[in-house]
Amino acid sequence: MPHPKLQQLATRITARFEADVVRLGQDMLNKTLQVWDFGDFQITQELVSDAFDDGQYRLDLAGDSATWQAYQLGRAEQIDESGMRYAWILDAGAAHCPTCLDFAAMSPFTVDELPGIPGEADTECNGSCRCNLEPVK
Amino acid sequence: MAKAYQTLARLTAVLPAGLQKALLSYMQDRAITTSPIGFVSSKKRGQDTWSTADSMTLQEIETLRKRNPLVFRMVDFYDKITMGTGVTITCEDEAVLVPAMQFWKLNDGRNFQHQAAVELAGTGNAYVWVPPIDVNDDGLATVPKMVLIPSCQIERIATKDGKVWYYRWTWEELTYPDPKEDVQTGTSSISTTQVTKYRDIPAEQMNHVALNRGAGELRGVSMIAPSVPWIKTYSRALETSWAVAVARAMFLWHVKLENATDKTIADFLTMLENQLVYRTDPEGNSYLTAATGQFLVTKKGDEIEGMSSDLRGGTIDPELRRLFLMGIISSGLPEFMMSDGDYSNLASSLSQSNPFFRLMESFQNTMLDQVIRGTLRLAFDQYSKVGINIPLLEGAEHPSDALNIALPKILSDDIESMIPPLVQAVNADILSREDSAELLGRKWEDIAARIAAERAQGFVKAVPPAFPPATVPPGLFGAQKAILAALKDEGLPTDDLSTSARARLTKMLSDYKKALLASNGDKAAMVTAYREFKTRAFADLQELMQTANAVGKESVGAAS
Repeated sequence: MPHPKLQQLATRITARFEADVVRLGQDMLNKTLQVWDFGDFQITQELVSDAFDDGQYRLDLAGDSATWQAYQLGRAEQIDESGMRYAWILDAGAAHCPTCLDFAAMSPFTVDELPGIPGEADTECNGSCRCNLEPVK
Repeated sequence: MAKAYQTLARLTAVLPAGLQKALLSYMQDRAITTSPIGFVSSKKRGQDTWSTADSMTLQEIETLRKRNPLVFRMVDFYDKITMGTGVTITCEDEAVLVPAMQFWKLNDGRNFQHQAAVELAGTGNAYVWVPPIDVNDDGLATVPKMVLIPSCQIERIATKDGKVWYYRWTWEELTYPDPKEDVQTGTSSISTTQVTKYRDIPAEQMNHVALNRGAGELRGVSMIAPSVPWIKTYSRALETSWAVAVARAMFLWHVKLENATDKTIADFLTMLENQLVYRTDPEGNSYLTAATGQFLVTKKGDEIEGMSSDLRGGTIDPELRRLFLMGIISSGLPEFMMSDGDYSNLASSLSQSNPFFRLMESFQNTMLDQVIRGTLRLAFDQYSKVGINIPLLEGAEHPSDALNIALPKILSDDIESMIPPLVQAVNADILSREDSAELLGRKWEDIAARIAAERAQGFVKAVPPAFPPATVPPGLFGAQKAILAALKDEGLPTDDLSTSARARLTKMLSDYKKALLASNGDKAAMVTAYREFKTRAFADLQELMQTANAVGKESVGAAS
């Protein structure tokens, strides 16, 4: 059974992705309704396609972010089980936001101190976080 | 030293205009003051502690304006109703008037006014930048430009080299590489790159007008700011109560069918029902409701009846009344009550009935007058810098002082004087409503045509001129790759963790699009398609995340 805090984080990650999907779906629906009465189906079709191109980008972004967060959560759960502490490791190939730099400097964390999961935590890079959780003693 | 600055700031606040100018000019000449607006910070001199990241009020209003119809309408109110449109600039001397008019017309002053009003209402600030004039190769000077900078782009106001600067106008732009040069020589990629642009603006080129600016403060506060926490708290409930309150105080129009039979009434109700649209409440749930103004659509020649404030509870068909109430609650604002969509008409009604609106009209006109006058002043300064000298008329301190700026007066005399007696006469059954409409100079045919035209445009609001694009957050395209790389590093099987799930998400979205297009405009079918998409996306998400989670666990296990 994962730590209650990690369970909470899992719920937050799922809820956030679900909210993204709902908003995306509704935006597409509203856009279609908006352009429906255009009088020319071809134009309507093009406008809807344009909107869905945007939607595809958003879905990719949300999907990528959610996958990364779930991956990191899995790591977090395993680290917790093994009784280790967490090191917030910056990705060498990514640009770093000030919050992640702080977190990295404040490492290591116990599970109670852990500020969140990369991508989920309240960092300036938000869902685009590329940091990694590593186990340390 | 700080105390001395505070004293100066207080002095500038209470002195008459002429003395203020003299004092500020004295101080500026000797680099005594750091700011023409007399700002003193207790923490750090000349440093604005306000920042876009910290100011939740500004952020909230901007966000709520996009999300909450009530806030949108509040901003709309301040902009359209009280401000009106158009400004008349006059001057006795043509040598002064012509450059001013050129400046105003070529910079699309009408749009500028609209934008400035929106900025003032939403953020309490208007930042107008008048950059130096470009001089052509021929030595011909162009007309100065004016740029309304969105308040959220002014990050801070601070001193540099003893002068005040507005830091800074930042935005991101896509740049396209030159295919002949950079790409062929390999110095640039083929794709576009995002380039951050910024410009720090000296205060002498900036006309900054702020609402509700307190002593010692740099930024203004929107007049709707105090209501933001309230709106956030009550949201739907407040919208409803606001709507009902407004509906009770305002006129309401409804369509009366002459010689109506059961069938015609049934047809009419069907027509109204068919016009209902889906909206989304703040919780993200869709609900079926009336669109703003849709009840105004009617057949030519139908009689229009003004309803009194009690909604004539006993006299209307209950089904019709239900629909009206739904319309009032959903649209929530007096726009619904407007028979002809004429804002000046609404403004005159409001001003007639509500002294607050008179005050607001006068106050906002004063603010806008400041925006325009200050901007023209800066423009004249830029003219003079490139050698175009505008005569200084007698008794004026600055050439632009000779300009008369007349903001639109919303209450025209006839309507102002005619509405109350007409309403009384109609209420007393002395005068028919048609006759009163005639007396007010309105014709139903014109109104019907205008409504038809609006419907043809789908009630789409005019798109304001685009500001520089907002910052696009960088994507996370590499996350999947990173996971796969991690798997590889750990020596774990790199199954298609993401590709299959991702392909499913893509297909799902494509199916959703097809279903929407195949719905043939049927809203119910569209909503069904949306629900299906949502269900499938949620299910796939669970699977995707479970896989990722398991892989994450394994990766740590393998490492340890």
